[in-house]
Amino acid sequence: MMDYRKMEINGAGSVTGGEYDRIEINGSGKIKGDVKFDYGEINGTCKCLGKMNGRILEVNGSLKVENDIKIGKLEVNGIYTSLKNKVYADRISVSGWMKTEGEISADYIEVDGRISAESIVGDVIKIHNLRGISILGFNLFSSPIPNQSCADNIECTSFQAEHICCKRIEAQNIKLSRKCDVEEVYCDGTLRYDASCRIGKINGDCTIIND
Amino acid sequence: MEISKKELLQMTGISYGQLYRWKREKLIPEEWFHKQSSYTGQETFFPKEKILSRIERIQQLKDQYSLEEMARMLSPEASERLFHEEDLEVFNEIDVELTATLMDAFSKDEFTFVEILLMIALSMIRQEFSLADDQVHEMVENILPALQEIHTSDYDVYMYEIQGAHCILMVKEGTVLYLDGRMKVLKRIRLTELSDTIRTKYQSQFHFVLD
Repeated sequence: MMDYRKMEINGAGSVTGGEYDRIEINGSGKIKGDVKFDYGEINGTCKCLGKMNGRILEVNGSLKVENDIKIGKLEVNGIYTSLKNKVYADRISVSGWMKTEGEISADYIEVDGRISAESIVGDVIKIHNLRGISILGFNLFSSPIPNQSCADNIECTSFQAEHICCKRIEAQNIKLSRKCDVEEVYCDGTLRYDASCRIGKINGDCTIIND
Repeated sequence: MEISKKELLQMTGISYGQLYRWKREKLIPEEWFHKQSSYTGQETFFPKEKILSRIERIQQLKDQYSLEEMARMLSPEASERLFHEEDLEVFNEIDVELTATLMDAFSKDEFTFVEILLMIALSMIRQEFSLADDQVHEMVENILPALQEIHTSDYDVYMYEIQGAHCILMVKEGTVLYLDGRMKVLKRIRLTELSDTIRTKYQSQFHFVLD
């Protein structure tokens, strides 16, 4: 019978990293190296200096990662920040703010709040702009939360967003509302946007619908 | 010859979601994604024959194998597949006398596919230039820090001589080298070509799948 390996921090502490079935941080934790896990839960704040690789990761508070992460299902209720790193997942749900200077890639991305990245790619991406974000009081690492989502490049099959600022969106189907500001769109299917949105240039063989 | 992402999606019928999922799972190597400026802005291009062949293979295999299994078969150098001590014995190209020296220099007994290719390259060099074990050991020790940054096989291995000492240089494919005249290049081995040869030869033993 295999041993069940658990890493748990209650209060404040740090660990070197390693492979676990379950990691749990209740308070303030620091992971100093690469960590692999089946299930991870952060209730509080966590800073990870190495790579994170896991099946499920739930963040209730704040997570800062200084390396690439690859998670099956990533759920963030609070803030996720990283530098010029990859955020790879099958599924990402954010209620709060996700910020990286690198690439976010997932089959399904749903954000209630804000998302900032150099590049966001995947299958289905939905960004809902919440006016008043509750960050559970754990914003220790970041600058003030921006008032809109932003990205240099977005590519996906289906894209739906409110109040996003973006250089380029390339997707099969696009729906924009509530003051989106996009320099260039490439769309092969349907492009829907309302009068509050600004689009610099539209390319592709798409059906345009003005809401 | 290259193909744009737009043409690729149209020609193959795959979606953005599938393309980026396969990239995340290392079924399509990251270095195949080339960003170039075009009249519509930044566009992504791929090596045409390679990507079309790879996508065809993925579509043939996807109902039989998981994404992780396919990555090990199609992109052993990109996936996290490890080869163990007993696997080294299968590769006739690795000098038997050198195996212990190389394992000692690497300080481990599990190796990535790129490290296997380098071992084969060093065996070829040792044989051709009748180098002693300690000379090879010294070369490996000195190249090891760089090797930890290399995860793909699109590199050329140069052996050069400078003032009687033999040294190794690993250079990204396509890079033009301008060397000090005192450095004499004795051998160049293209790891891409070596990878194709080895994967073809040991296809059945290691379940490599060729494009």
